[in-house]
Amino acid sequence: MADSFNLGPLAGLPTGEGRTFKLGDRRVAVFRTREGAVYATQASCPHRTGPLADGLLGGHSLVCPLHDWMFDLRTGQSLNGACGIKTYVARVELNGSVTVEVDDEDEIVASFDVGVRQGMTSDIATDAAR
Amino acid sequence: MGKRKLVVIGNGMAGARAVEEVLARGGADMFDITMFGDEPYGNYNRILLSNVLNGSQYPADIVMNPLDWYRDNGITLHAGSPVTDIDRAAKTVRSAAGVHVSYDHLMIATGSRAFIPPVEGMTGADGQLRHGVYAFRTLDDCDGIIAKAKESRQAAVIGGGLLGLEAARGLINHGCKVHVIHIGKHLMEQQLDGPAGAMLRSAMEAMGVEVHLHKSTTAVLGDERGITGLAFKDGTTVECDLIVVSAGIRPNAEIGMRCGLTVERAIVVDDHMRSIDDPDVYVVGECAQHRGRVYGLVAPLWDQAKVLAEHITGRNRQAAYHGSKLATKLKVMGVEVAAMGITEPTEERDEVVQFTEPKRGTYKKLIVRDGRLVGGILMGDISKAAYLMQAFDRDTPLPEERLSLLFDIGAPAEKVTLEEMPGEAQVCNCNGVTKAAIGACVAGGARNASAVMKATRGGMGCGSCKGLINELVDFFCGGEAEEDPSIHYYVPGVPLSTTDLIDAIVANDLRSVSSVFKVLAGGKEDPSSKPGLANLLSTVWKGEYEDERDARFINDRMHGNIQKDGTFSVVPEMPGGVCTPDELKRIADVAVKYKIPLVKLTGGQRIDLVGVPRDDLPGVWKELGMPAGHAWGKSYRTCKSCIGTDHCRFGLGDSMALATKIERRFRGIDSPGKLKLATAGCPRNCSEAYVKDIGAVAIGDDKWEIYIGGAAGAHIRKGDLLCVVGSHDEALQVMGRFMQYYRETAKWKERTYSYVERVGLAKIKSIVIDDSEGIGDRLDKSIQQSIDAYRDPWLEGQQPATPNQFTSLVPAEG
Ligand code: SRM
Ligand SMILES: Cc1cc2nc3c(=O)[nH]c(=O)nc-3n(C[C@H](O)[C@H](O)[C@H](O)COP(=O)(O)OP(=O)(O)OC[C@H]3O[C@@H](n4cnc5c(N)ncnc54)[C@H](O)[C@@H]3O)c2cc1C
Ligand code: SF4
Ligand code: FES
Repeated sequence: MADSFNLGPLAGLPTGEGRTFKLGDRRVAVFRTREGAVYATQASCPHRTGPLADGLLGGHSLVCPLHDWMFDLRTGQSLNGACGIKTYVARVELNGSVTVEVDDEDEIVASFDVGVRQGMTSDIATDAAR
Repeated sequence: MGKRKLVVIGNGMAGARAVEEVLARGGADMFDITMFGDEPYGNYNRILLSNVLNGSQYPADIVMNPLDWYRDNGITLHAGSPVTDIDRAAKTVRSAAGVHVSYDHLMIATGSRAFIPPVEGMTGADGQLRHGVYAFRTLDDCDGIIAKAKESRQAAVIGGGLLGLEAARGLINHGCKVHVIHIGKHLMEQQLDGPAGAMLRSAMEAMGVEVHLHKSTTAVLGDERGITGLAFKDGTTVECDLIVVSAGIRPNAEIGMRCGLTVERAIVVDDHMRSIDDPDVYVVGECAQHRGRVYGLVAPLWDQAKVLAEHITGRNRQAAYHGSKLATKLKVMGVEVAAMGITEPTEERDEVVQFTEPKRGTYKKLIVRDGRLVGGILMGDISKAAYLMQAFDRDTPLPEERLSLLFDIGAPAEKVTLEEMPGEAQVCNCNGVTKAAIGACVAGGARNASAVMKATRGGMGCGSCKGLINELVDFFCGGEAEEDPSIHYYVPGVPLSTTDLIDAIVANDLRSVSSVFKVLAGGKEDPSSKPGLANLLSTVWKGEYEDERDARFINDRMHGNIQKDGTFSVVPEMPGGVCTPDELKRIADVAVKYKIPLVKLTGGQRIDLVGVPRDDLPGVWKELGMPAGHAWGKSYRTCKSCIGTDHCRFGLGDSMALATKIERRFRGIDSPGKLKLATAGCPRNCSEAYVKDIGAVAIGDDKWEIYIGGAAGAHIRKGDLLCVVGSHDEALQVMGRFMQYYRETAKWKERTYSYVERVGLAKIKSIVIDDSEGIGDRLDKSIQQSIDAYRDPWLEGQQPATPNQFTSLVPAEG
């Protein structure tokens, strides 16, 4: 079952950024790439629930703001780890408004996350590993 | 001809590596590959679990074959789905999840599991380890240990071997008191002799690990509420609420036994890594027993995987495995131990070469038989380990001069050694990379060590072989290895150094980050390079650039530091740590009104309102009525100050006034790395000015010493004296000029502590102080323009730059 939500005009989403929307019971991150495409994913990073909508975009790559996990917005696949994210169907309608379809499949959480060194920046983390 | 079906049971280090080797031999065209793994992940580097436990690596960092790898190689992966049955007659396997597939060839790579000694109270009624007791073998184990360690006060590790010590070291980092319980006479008995074991014990105890020897555990104490301790045969006990069992491993060989394969300690294989009972069943890794030996380290499995692949693909049906010699390194931060072969002489002709310096924790012992190395222990100084491990592994004759085995005395010509090193010699043990593989990679076009490491994974494990890889790459490049060019780039995504990039930006009149990518990076947007470019554009164009908001890191979009829960911190400006009572009151009022979860004094001498949801930011900023403190960006941050002449009996200069002038002048100036400053009223340095990016220390007569490149964060460095100035104004001018030169020449995220070292103090002095290049005026003007273009970002609270900038959850229209 998928519920369809109207998020209003595309202009409500700033170019190259994301926003977190409340769609029914779900929190969904919706992005507008520089190329003008719209994508929707689960709102929290599977790693440690970082706010994905606050990440950096480049093409369809998304970088989580907390520890730099990277995802492909088109498929949800991970670009640098083992764990991907759930995506939702999103599109721009002919009248210019954005629609997102929310199904009830589970969101993805990295089951092996271990909460060590919270807040450590990833470059310092790798520094320490060196 | 149709493809044959290859089914692999076990998705760990050996299974995945064997499949990689098969694919490298054209296996994708010969086989349809299906893999089953008990663990729900792709393959990860198990040996780096020690780093995950000690917090120096994230689980994501140790993944070797992410799920995409399986897909890209057309491999069907059933992860989290252990195989329960093999039917050799029907040639099928069945998994617990009910997947039933047939095979032409089967590969068993089930590895081993932790051995759990039969001790009372260790397991619950269900036969599983009870809550609070963990093995240390998988990511899930690691996860469990870390979660428990957070609430635990005392942890006990049963087993003082390699793994047990690595676990103990990791647990220390989680703040619990750690005991190591060892049944033997000394630690790491497999690899060390008595004296080395005793020195290792002192080293572990110096780190805060309590070592208990000769202890045979008889019971886990506690009740249904949890465990409380361990009891030993000698009647003593130890208190603990977390137990890690690391008392050896047991091969997962039952699956072979159930389908009728010969199993002794593990599944018995021939020299082609095939079960001796069935030519279609290969076995690799810790579940294989070869010539009576079962291994518990990774080096053997790299060799086994190669032989298996040669054989199964028909590349070389004669390929044979002859067994491996074992050498190990202990991966415990702060203790260097390498060991190989036997620990004591066993034959009369064995010759022992030894050196001990207990005070420094150095111990070296080699056992030489017929001029060849048969055993070795190195502690403290393991600089000769790479050479010795090689000699041990290859059985090469040792030099007559035994002293040179232990120390670098007039080091033997390195080139000769590299040349003599055989191609099959393992360089990176963690990832099984040989000298030949590095050679092939260079031959294939890689011209620098980082490219080779990326392509082969060599050096990406524990990292201890990086030096050797660098040397080998240089050797294969005929001494002309290139440096990784990207280390000179301002940001990785645009192939230009900072100065070249600035020139290109100006020449092409590029005013936005997207246009920089378009013109200078072939249109490929690298998300991680965006904030650096945005920062540089602001340095180049001052206010006159096209501020694409998406290029900014979230901190610079919200003008606060993002916290782990997605809220932000608010740190108002407070130059030199000084504020008025009125400001203090307003801060308090705001904290009360907005229910700020935490009000904290920062290490930068100001007040942090922590945990503000973005919806409240505009209100908080407005009601504070204080300028932004810029505690979030790559920019000028703060200037700390001591009391100085106004009140301090030792004060030689007015440090508070200078700090205030500095802050008012440079606030918010973008820079490649953070700029943290301090002023001190005298060389007692109460405000730590010697260890700041820029520090000013009063020495009397209105004179100030200006230091640059100091640091006391992750790196500690005393700043270098740039010059002595005669007034506040001169100090401001010199500081501004240095900042501007740094802004125009440093790489993104390069703090002054590395920048000053890279560029050299002499060069900086000549440009900033002596104006040797005649750019002084330009630098001064340029920083002045940036200062003039400054606008308090918190004003944006009243005029958001983008829709819903300050809304944490946007409702749908309906
Ligand atoms: C708030 C504060 C801690 C505190 O409560 O005292 C703090 C908090 C953070 N520091 Fe710091 N640092 C704070 C003073 C310091 C100091 C002390 C100082 O400024 O005198 C240092 C050592 C000085 C230095 O930088 O050389 C310091 C060295 C670091 C470093 C290590 C930098 C390095 O290269 O060595 C990092 C990591 C980094 O920059 O990548 C860091 C990073 C961080 C970050 C931003 C973590 C991050 O990247 O997200 C922390 C934000 C936490 C949060 O949730 O807001 N913080 N940090 C301090 C704010 C000072 C201020 O008023 O602006
Ligand atoms: C914390 C730690 C640190 C280590 N450090 C070092 C080191 O520094 N140096 C070193 O040389 N070695 C080290 N080792 C040992 C090294 O990790 C092993 O030698 C290596 O992982 C063995 O590989 P394997 O593939 O045989 O077994 P594994 O890597 O264990 O892989 C076997 C896989 O098969 C799966 N499996 C089991 N049964 C089934 C089934 N029925 N169906 C499907 N899947 C199944 C298991 O879940 C597992 O994922 C360390 C080990 C640990 C745990
Ligand atoms: S030292 Fe700095 S970065 Fe580390 S936890 Fe404390 S505030 Fe965060
Ligand atoms: S929370 Fe997203 S990378 Fe850590």
